[in-house]
Amino acid sequence: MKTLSVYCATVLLSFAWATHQGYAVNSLFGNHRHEEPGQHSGTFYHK
Amino acid sequence: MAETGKYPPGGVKTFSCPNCGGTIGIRAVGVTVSAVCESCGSVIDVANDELRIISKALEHTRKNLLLPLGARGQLFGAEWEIIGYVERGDEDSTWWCEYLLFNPWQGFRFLVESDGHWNFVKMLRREIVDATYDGKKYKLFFRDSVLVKYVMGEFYWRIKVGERVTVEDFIAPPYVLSAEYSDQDIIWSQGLYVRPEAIQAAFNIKEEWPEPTGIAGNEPSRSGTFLPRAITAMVVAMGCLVVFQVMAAMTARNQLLFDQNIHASPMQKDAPTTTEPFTIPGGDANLEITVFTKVDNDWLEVEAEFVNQDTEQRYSALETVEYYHGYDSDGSWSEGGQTSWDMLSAVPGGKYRLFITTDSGAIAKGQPSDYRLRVVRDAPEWSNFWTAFLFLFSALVVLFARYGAMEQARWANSSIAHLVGPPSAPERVGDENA
Repeated sequence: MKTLSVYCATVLLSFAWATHQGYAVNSLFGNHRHEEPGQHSGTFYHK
Repeated sequence: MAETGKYPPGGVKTFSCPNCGGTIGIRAVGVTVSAVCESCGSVIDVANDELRIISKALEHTRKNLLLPLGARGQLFGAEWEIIGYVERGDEDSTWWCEYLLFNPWQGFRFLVESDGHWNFVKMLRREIVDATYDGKKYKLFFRDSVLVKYVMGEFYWRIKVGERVTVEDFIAPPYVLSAEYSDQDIIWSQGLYVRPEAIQAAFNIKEEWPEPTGIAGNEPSRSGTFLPRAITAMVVAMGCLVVFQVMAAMTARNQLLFDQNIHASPMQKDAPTTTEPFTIPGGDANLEITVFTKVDNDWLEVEAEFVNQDTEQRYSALETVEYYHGYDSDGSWSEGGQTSWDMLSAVPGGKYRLFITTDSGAIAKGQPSDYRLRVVRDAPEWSNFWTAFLFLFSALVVLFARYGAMEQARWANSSIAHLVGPPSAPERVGDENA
């Protein structure tokens, strides 16, 4: 029961943190690119 | 009768075996009816002074028992002494072993061991109807004719090696109801599953016992006892998740940053259109990018690149819209759509320019493409919710699967599995084991 409680709490906290920080799970499946200054872009991975 | 000793408290009264002259010890004086000679294995009627031989053993070997005769242990609030031992089974194999326990104030109980699984058994003084006891319905699990194969110690009934009875077991884990049918009567008893470690601790047994094999008929399922509480925990967690999500959706700013119809001409191919600088307010938040277009049997690809004017960090999304349709031998078909939607995670606030690059089937043919591009800041987001929901739900699926696997293994051991229905839903039980 303790393991399950820790598991549920972890899932809920991860959800709350990710949503609050503006992270979205579905953005993992898009064609995205993030470049820091000085980086040169490659090509997009085509769906 | 040759009495060779007194019976001090906790002591043993001894007799001489009428068959071989060996010593027979009686611990439950006054209630023991038959006793086994340790030397020759003959079963002696000790109910009265005329020591009568009930049965003579053809051959007798003393066995090393997991719980030795005379051992005392504290179980379920009373001290029990092991005074008898019976093995039952068929002609070829032993199915289970019964240790007879005695306490002068509590009477008799049994510890029954089968494949390393143990039950603490008490006789029931009432008739059982419809396999229901204390309001609990038991399921038939085992039915067979069993033989007394081996005996040691003393007993409160006239036991006989070779005696055959029919036994039925009904289960409602962690309990088992057993009915023993003989020519004279039916004896009902109730057993409670006890973990071997509890028996070893109770009788101070230091030797290691073989690990229990398989799943016992009334072995409580850890998943089964755990399941009702787990379901409650999951429902609470899912409720919290819904509340969090509703709050997140209600407090999302859902701010429209950009919404324009764009006319992309073939001349602009590979040359991005640049917007004027605009401000994305606030801290990190998502950006929702949607492309609407009327492509018809064609495709359109839009790269939207947000460039931070201060830090030069770039966040890009590539949207592809495809819509094809037609007819074939199976009738009409279509694939794709005229809208594409995507989301960028955690884009920090600041001053940005948007670089838009367009390509399409029409542009490749030298024709312009029209579409609408919309960008929303901090849009309500559901993918996190469904992912968290999936994680919670999968834990529940795993628990149910473990419960189901154990029940399947349990009923695979049943001698009458084909006669009864599927196992019932789990029921919460307390830890009643010693």
